[in-house]
Amino acid sequence: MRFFDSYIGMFIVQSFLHSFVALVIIEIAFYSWEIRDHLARFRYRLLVLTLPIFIFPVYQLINPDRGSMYFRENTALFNFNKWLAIRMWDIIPLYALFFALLSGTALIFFLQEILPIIRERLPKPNRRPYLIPQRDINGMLEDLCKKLGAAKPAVRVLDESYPILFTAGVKNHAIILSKALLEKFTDNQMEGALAHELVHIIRGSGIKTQIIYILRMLMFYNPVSLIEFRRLVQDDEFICDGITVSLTKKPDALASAISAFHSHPKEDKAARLSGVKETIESHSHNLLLKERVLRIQERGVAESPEFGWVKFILTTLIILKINYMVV
Amino acid sequence: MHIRITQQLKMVFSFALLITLLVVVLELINWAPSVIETESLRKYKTIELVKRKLHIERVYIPAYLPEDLNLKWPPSEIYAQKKPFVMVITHFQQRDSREPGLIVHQVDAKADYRPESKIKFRVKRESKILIKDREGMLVTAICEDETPCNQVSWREGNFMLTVIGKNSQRDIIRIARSMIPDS
Repeated sequence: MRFFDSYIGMFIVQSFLHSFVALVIIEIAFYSWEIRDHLARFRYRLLVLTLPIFIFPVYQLINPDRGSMYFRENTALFNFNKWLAIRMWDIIPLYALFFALLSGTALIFFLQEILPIIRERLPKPNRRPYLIPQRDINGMLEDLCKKLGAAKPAVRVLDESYPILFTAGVKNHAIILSKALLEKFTDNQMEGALAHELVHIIRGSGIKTQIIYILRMLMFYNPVSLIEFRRLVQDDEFICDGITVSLTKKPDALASAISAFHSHPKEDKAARLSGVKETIESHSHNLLLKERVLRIQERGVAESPEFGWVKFILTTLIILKINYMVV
Repeated sequence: MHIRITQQLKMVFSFALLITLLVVVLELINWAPSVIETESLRKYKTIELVKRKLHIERVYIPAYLPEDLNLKWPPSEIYAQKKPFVMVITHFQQRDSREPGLIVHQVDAKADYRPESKIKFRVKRESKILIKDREGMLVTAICEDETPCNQVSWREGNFMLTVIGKNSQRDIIRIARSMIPDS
């Protein structure tokens, strides 16, 4: 329990509390200010991920007494130590449960986000080489690049029977797609899909995601950061969809291209534990795709609304003010 | 134009209302542990209340508090808990400021816990002393406002007692002695 009174202990507890409070406040802002635009939501969500890393040391610099018993008892709006000190049925201390929550989040972070990266970096002897594209998409890509004012990225084709499409690289980009997509997609769908990837390149999604990922790594124990990181990545997809549609003016083509990525887990796997996990993952993946398609169809080629900086600054100030009183 | 202003006002009102609700919820969640765990750390108004609510038989307070030390009676702030261990912190405020001039810490000796003091100081010298027949430690220090401070601590029965004050060594030792019951 005394660990939570140390500087590092207080940082861990308060960064969790501060991100949770920030999350609630931005959800209030989304509801009250009727913020539905994903670019605006992306900016607000960044507050949840970034502020909790920096505000605790700043608060402590402003008032070194902020962690003291006197501040907690007399000034604080919420003192989490009171909860941590409680013992359920006089046996299980709540701080142990809280510690378990943080450890569980750290474990999920390691298994789902660190381990795949390590695996990816390890040399693979049976890695299949890239294919020479059977269908020429260079002309289409060049036209799109001219239209968007972007440098033409390299295109790599993977010999896979399921749909794959993503952009790799931070400085020198390459669009990676699978043979299945080349065969399946119509010209309109391909144009939408390539334009979407080009928008990612123009927006610098790769570097942005990496920076956000580093911030997320700093709070590897924080379940709120875990959720918000994923939501930020999803928001980025929505933003790119919006820009793509406004550039190509073909919302239906992009919507049908996205629909091609629906996943169908094998039914025989469903009974096993790994099968259940796979089913849940593919269900949430499909839900996201469905939402993206719906958004594109609803929004059409509409322009993004102007970002309300006054509301954003007001929300930030409220997050800072309330979190100062949360210890 | 009129509709837009009304809509904006509605948004501001809704935002303010929900933020107020969040503050109220935070206050409620902050208050709840004191209902669940009635013997955890909290502020009390009087020493009698501490004894009655927490069933702490003996709360050590100075019997000697001379006029010239400029300290207010009764204690300005009292913090106490029974769980996870017995601890009572008593503050005596200075008459001419809102700052505490004397603090008494009474902590279960088995807990091996030293509560933080509201009077912050830099230690200059430590020396062993006798308080009546108890072995104690006298700390000579300088307060944050560069005035001399002193601290005396000793074991009294099951408790560790610490007296911190912005007074002279002679006064703080006399205050400490006045807290020890005559055997």
